[in-house]
Amino acid sequence: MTWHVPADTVRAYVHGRIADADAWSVEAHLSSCEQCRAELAAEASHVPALMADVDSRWSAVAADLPAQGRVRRGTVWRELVVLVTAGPAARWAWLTASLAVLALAAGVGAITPMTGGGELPLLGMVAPLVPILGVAASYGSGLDDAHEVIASTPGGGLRLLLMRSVTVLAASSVIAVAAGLFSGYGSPVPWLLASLALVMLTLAFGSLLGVGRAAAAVGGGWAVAVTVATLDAPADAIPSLLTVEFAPVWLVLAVVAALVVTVRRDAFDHIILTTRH
Amino acid sequence: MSTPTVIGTHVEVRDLVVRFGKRTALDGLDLTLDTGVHGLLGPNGAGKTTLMRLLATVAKPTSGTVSLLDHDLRDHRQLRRVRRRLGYLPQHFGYYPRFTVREFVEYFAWLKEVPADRVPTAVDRAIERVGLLDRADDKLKKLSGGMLRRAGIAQAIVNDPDILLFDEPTAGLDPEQRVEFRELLRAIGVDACVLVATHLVEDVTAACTDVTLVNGGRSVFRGTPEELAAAADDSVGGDSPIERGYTTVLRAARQG
Ligand SMILES: Nc1ncnc2c1ncn2[C@@H]1O[C@H](COP(=O)(O)OP(=O)(O)O)[C@@H](O)[C@H]1O
Ligand SMILES: [Mg+2]
Ligand SMILES: [Zn+2]
Repeated sequence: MTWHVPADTVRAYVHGRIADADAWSVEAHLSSCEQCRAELAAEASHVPALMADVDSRWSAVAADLPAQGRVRRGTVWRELVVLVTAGPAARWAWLTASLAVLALAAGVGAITPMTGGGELPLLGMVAPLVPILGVAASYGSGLDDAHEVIASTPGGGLRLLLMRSVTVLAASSVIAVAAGLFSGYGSPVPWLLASLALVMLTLAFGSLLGVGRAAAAVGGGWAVAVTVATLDAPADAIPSLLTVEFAPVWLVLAVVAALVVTVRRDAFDHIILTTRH
Repeated sequence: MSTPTVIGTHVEVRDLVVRFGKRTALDGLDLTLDTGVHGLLGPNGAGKTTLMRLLATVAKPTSGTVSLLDHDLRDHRQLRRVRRRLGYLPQHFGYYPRFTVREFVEYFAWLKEVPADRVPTAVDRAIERVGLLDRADDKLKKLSGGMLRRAGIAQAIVNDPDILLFDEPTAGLDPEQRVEFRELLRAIGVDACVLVATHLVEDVTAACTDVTLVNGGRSVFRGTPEELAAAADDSVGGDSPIERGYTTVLRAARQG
């Protein structure tokens, strides 16, 4: 476009000092020229009465729009619900699977009490794995069909990951505590702290490897460590990783991992692929 | 209502190189874009999707610079600000089958940090612009391929982006929907910088104000569709002047 509305014509238009025919041609040009619209807006912003008029007309138009279908009001609560529950389809599979695994572990644990003859304390071993898998299932880019778009949004990085991890941790803790009470497993504090630490470690490694791979690495590491600790422990004792004495170690690990996540938070600005695209 | 702002250069790409192992997907590409509808045309494997992913801030280049809306993408805050002004429809895009159209578009409105009080209006306006308002409360799994594509377009425009990236957007649309889509492109291109990556020559003929032709990760032509048609050598075959122009430029690039 080579011709633009001259500055004094823009001014005359804004202040209403322009002939109708000229106003029409100005408007015709404005409808297809961003530059002149911007100049008009800049000029108009110096006229408070005009801005107030535009605002009130806009509000009136907006208020008059009929509600169509199931429109929900935009609130912070609504935002939280949408962002947390919109994870990949895998999240229901995860919830069902974790319930089943924990029920099974608690059931086996109840039938063969762990302090009896050296059987594995299954619930304690399995429970900390559940939230790790949950974080991977609710955020892992390989599982979320829309992750490519999500990665291009300002809200799709660490903030979304933390929102979902907290939800997963809360849900799995409730399930695990309930299973623990039901099976008479004893204090849930050690393995709740272990869960917290493992989730934080998943996020910390996730800043390097991507959340999916980090979940696999941390989950695998836990499985090896707890098996070794169990074989290592005297036949009638709880494996050291799950004792109350060990709990402070988990706490320290969780804090250190949280620090790593804070320092490396920019790494979540870009997706770290877990699958080839 | 959004106040119009004067924006400098929308997209500025300098000497962009992307390598995947030994394979070079982008090989020193330069590109400058402002408002309007721009075509990014090239054969499969030319590097279009790779470029779109960089512009969408999803991936990072091996070397070279990308500046969007005069912002430095290496700075976390500036990156966030740019992302609020971006719309992106990837080539391959999964949908959440259990979501309704409205929930799906709303999800992206929140992710793009549209102000809370504007979310409901922004969502319905985007759905209306792609002509899906009568299906807004239907689950995505009940929609046809073309409708899903339009839902994808709605999420891309829900934040009234300044930069809009469409990667092979007409795949799955029938001829009538393609015409409607091009009209939508022209309407959005008045205020925004719209980049349409496609391997279909007819997509750029109808809707684009200019065309960048890429081949082997390099830009081999930049001009209007008419100029591309004028580049045609009479000896090459093709259904339309612009298709012949496309083939001529590509052949020259491959020989040179
Ligand atoms: N993630 C990836 N890993 C390895 N090679 C890739 C990857 N993405 C693209 N490529 C390669 O880069 C080249 C350009 O691909 P692409 O950008 O998808 O082209 P287009 O979209 O123009 O068809 C191709 O040779 C493709 O095989
Ligand atoms: Mg492609
Ligand atoms: Zn003008």
